[in-house]
Amino acid sequence: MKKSWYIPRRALLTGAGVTVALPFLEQMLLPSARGQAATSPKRFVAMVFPNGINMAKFTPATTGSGYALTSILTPLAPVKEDVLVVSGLENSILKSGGNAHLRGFAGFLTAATPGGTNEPLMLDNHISLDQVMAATLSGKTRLPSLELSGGLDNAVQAAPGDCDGVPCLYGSVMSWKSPTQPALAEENPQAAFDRLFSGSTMPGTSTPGTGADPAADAPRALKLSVLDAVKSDTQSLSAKLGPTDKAKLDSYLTSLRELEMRVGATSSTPLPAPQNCGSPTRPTDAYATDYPKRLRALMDVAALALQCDVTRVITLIGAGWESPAEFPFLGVSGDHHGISHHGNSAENLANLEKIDTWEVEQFAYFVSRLKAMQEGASTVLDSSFVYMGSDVSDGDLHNYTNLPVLVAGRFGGAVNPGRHLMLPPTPIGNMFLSALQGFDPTASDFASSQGALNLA
Amino acid sequence: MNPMGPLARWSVLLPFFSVACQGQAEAVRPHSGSSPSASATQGSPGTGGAGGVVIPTSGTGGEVRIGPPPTGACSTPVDPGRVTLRRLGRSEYDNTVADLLADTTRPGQGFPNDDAFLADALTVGPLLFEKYDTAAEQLVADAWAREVAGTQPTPARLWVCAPSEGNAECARQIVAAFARRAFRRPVTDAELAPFTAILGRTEGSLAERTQAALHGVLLSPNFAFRVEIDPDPLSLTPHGLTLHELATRLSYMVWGSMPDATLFGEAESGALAAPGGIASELSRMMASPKARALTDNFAMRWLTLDGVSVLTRDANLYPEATPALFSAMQSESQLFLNVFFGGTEPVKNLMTADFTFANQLLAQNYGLDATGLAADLVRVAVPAGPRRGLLGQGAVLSVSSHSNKASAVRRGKWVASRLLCTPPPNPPPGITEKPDALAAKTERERLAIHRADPVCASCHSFIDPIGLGLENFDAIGRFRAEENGVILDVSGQLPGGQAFNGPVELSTLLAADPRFHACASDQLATYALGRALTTPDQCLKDAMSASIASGASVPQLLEVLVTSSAFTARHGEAQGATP
Repeated sequence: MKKSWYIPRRALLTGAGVTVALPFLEQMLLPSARGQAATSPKRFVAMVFPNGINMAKFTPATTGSGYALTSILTPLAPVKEDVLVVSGLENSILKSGGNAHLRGFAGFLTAATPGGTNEPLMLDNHISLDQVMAATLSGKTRLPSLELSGGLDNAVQAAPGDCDGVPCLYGSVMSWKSPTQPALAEENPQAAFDRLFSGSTMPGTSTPGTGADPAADAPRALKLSVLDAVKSDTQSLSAKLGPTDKAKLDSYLTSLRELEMRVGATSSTPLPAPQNCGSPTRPTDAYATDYPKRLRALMDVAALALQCDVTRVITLIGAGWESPAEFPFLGVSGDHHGISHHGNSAENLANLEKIDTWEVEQFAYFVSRLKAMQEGASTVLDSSFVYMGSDVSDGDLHNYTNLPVLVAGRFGGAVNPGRHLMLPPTPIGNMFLSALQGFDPTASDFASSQGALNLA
Repeated sequence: MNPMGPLARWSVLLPFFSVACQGQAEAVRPHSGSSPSASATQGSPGTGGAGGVVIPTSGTGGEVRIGPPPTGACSTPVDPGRVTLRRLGRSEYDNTVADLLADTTRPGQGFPNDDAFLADALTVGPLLFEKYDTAAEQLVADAWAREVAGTQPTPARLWVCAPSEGNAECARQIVAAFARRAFRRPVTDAELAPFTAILGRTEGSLAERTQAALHGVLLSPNFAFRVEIDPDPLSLTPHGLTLHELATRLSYMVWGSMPDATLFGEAESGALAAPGGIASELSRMMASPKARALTDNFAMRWLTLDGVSVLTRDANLYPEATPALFSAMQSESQLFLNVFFGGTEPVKNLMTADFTFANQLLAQNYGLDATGLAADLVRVAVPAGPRRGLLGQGAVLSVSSHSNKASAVRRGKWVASRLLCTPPPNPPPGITEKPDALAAKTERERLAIHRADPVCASCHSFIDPIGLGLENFDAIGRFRAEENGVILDVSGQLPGGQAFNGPVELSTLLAADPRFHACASDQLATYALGRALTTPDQCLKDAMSASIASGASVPQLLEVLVTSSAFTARHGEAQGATP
């Protein structure tokens, strides 16, 4: 009895020291077949670090270029000319109803007040910026968007589903496909890597549709027939259901079609294979209990995804809402959220300064990675818009004004970094609109935006 | 009787399974005397099993539906509500494939964290779908390999016949038998057709195509979701669940997994609809070791104790706080709760129980007699004092502490939200900056300064006085009489004004507090139903609360729940509802 193609995957992934996804790697080792990207595509990355920032030690004293790095911004030194510090942005989240961190998280990339803060806790958020961007890229990259998370939210304190009168999901998700459909994030860097680069979850990578090797195409055809059966089954079921249940199955179908598109790529409708990225190295560990290493590994995977053009839109949750992360390696006693309720205590503020500096260091690491990725005459960073912020401004005040905002990259010339930009109170939606216009030049508004923000 | 609306029609037909709402605590046995029409319908056509009443319906392959409970004791007809299509949570997925395929690799541990009671919070998206796909393919391949090797355990056999390359009929039978178990109900040929179509393709061997078809079944929403079909999805008229839907609700509530062959058979035969059918099945299920899921999937999550084993503490301040200690704490609460959720102990004794589980490490941490204890946790008696009951357990006291200090605020919030279901309002954004309270020596002093601010006081005057009653415990649950040289004042007050002094009095008050009884009922019903309770559920909640007050055990409490219309019936969604 043959069962050849069902066996290899786990063996591949767990084989001692063996790199995964051989067919795929073979393909990547033939750069001549791929050619060089003519022009660098625009990329967008949003990164959130929770619990606010010690703003007094974050905001530079002067504006324009040549500003002096504050203590929290010190790690930016190697990439200072690639980063724009933006002060004065605010998120128009209504200031009542439910946990302020969760609402700040839910609105972080939607620039709008989440609903669902009343019984019975229905999900009722808004589509997020990255998903609007992703919709413009359908079919251009293997994944329309990639969602990653360092984990570590306040779940241990949270009741199942109900977090202080707000759906808990608001605090562990940044990316929303629709008001009721969060795009859950991968927390395991190895699993994230496999999703992007393994042949088994990307069956289309095995020389799709050439007909030269029918045996290699048979698994793909069967796989497509499986998805086809499930699609038909889902549609039959959907016909028997009411509107809310139908909507849920619609999410299921949409997800199915995304996978189907990847599996089903043929020579006539190709999805580009990863390119220009040499041989990606799989993270050597999942770092399940080592937060700093896990976050670094996730950033490495994210940088690879951009370099290989597997996706152009990434959201990365540095840590979840009310993160209880501890930082003994910084000499900090206590947990992040607890400390962020600083009560103006000098000790708490000093500890926050250390934690916030560490966060900027992580951002700087990621930015440096992109900067080191050469792409023709420029770098991956040059075509990117890498945004870092927090759910609130001050962790004790829970305010959504004067948010901490860093933007790295030149975004193909749309951003002029190396400066501190001090704005009058300005909706953050304006900045989001500017970023969106990099993907859709005709976009005229996003959520609460009142016009694009000129960052050039 | 107060017949009105659609339920009145029901009550004429089928008034047997008592029970949600008669407002009496031990309303746990089927009875026939609550309604004049009861005897009239007994044994009438359409009954199944030993005189039980079922309604044959059209639309779901002739499946029978459970009859509704009487509307008698509640003054208004009971609206059973509507549950959104409920996806299996990741631990349910793992339990289900363990039963379905004898696969204990727990692939769900790699799925996104989704420990939610509410069906609406169990979302789907591309990441999860891909993981379902990957898992399904691997699960089938591994089970098939076990079949080839002859090691697949009987209840999870895929090969209901002996497959061979030319035997298309056997392949079809394998897919049909698997779909029936995977979908937890009879499956029509039409429903099977998309999957059996794969068998007729030309790619691969028949064995490969059969596995592909099984892969499809495992990726079907009929497997991934607990499907409940309304005869009319746009009608608010209540109807009983089909017996298979009911069996599935029971099974996931008690076992966190699919029905076993016996339960499946009870649904097939209609025995589940017989008087006492649900109750007797419930007690059989509660006796199974799989009922441990009630502790793991419900109680530990309700009380937010399922992540205690990975808590950490500032190593300089709490060098004793090792992973082994936190592990022991979580196990203690798990074993303790399992005594309640699998046995006869009255629910309200959760607060005051005179026993717990400890190993040497934990007993030493608690200052209990560690004589004879080793690494394994065993049941030990707890002498009268602050250590008795849930609030004396390290897991509760640690999860509600900061990593470098105990927190009366967090503990107060934990008691208010977890045990009383009255979470305090959150701090408003942009509140005035808090005064520096560093000079204070005790938490009580710090919080008093905090509460001097009227904005802070509005919430903290609610939660602080509860948590201050637990100040005798430090951040890893050790007893302490003083903090920074000051003898601790552990007087406090519950919302509503009952004053107490220290953990013993607090626990005693809580055990008798109707708000605790209502809260436990609300949480358990929310878990079982997958939706938040609403006004029409008040009746059920009251019946369950009264049951707890009168000393009911968890099995007795569950019997009130599972024989209620909220559990056995549902309705569709109003036309024009926006998804």
